[in-house]
Amino acid sequence: MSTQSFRSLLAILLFLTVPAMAHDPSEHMRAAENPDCTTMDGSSHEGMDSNDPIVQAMMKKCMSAMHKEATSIEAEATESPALGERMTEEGHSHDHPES
Amino acid sequence: MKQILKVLLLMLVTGSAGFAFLYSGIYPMGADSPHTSLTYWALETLREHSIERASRTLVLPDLSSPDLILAGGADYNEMCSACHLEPGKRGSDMSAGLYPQPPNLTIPPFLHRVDDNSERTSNLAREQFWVIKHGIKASGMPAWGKTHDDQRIWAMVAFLQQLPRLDSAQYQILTARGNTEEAHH
Repeated sequence: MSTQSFRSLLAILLFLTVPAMAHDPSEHMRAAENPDCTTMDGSSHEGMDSNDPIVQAMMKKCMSAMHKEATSIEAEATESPALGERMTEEGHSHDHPES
Repeated sequence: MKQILKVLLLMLVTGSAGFAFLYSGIYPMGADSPHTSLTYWALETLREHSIERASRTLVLPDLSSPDLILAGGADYNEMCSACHLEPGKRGSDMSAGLYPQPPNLTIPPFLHRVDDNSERTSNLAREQFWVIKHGIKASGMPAWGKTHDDQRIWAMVAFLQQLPRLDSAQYQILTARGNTEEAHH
């Protein structure tokens, strides 16, 4: 293969590779930072306007985070019966808030 | 006839001077050397009117949707905050080094204007969409539309409408990528 042909082939391959470089949200899921929802705890809800898009978005995000956390604890307890028993003894029910 | 010759001669001299200037290389191109105020005004006027004209006919979706805000927050944090900052940050290496300096999007856009109204806000949202999608020549602002669809760009615009009202804690919650996928469905 001549140098000229090789360069042309390389250019075509590079061109075809570009769309694959698009920013896909799933690429970030592994290193994704979790929301710190401690500011959304009970008493801090006072004064929040439930019609405010920011409040609605934060509630949605934190409810989703709590749901995921509860699901993972539940799954862990199922995998390890001892942990499940310990949680029941400590008064942790398996109920979790629905989002 | 004499007048026409004079005008033609003047045009020739002006044109030659212009070309001589372009090829001389004396204009400073470094980002650390600001334009003259006349050049800056001309470029800014050209940019503002071009964006306003191009974005005029865009149809706005509902930008107050929590799902849209959440989707846009995560993208803003990863793609934009290095230059356009986040609550609690006054500058970054990128925002300090780029010229023209990227706008700090955590500051309300109409802070110094008394004629703030919803039409102006809608126009700003249309312009933001256009700028994110198409970028701006020779400014460091990329055209994200080459790799991102309109829905994702509108989500970033939705987030931008709320950004000036966010504090650091709210920003962290709305931009954390964790659980975003669940929030979409």
